[in-house]
Amino acid sequence: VFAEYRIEVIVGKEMKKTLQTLTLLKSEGFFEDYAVGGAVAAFFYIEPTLTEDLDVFIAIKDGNAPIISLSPIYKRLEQLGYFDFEKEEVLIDKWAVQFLPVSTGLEKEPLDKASEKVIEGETIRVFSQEHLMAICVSVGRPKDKIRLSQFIESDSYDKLVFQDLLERHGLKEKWKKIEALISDDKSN
Amino acid sequence: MTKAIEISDRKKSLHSAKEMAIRRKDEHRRRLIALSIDEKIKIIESLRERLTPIREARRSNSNKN
Repeated sequence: VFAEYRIEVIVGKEMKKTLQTLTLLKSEGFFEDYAVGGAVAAFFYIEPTLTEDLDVFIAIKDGNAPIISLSPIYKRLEQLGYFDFEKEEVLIDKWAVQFLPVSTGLEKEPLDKASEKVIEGETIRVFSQEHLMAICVSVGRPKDKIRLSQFIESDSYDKLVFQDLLERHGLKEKWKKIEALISDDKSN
Repeated sequence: MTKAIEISDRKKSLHSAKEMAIRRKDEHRRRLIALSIDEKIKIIESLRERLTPIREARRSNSNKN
């Protein structure tokens, strides 16, 4: 995608507004905490890839309840002028945001361990590289496998931390299969 | 004999062209990784902006069909 792409700074700070809205929602108590995961979080560690949305993992009170309603968040967003909903996403300025409530295990741990980083002047919390990798192993879609190979090629992750995550979350077998696929791709 | 040398030379030049392409790609990747997060976000936003009209045209075409 980027082979012929010239880096041009032609767009304003569009994500800044999206992040400011998230901070507002948190300050108003719609969720206790939030952190960015998915492709945008991966940008901190690897090369950028085309993505349509911003995955926002949120901790809300009663996160372990069988049914979690995001209606209060959506209602507030409507009050703020964000009416554009598509599937499970809401368009906040130029970014489609998907709110993903966390409950336990490999959802909650990355949020608890997320670190503060700055995007366009806004301080946000972002999943660690090793947690992003473990989630990719767990989800295992083709795009997750591509992302995993990018993480591995970047060689900037902590291998011991990653192995520990795989072990604790029962992902070792799944990882072995994906690792074999990645090695095959490299040798071809 | 001459033909064998020609083929061998051709193979060598193809091999070095492939190596050069791989090196260029790796260098490009390294440059992209080294960009700041704000630059990376801007690239994606700009790329999406360029793709939107193409996607909308495709969507409207598929709706017509």
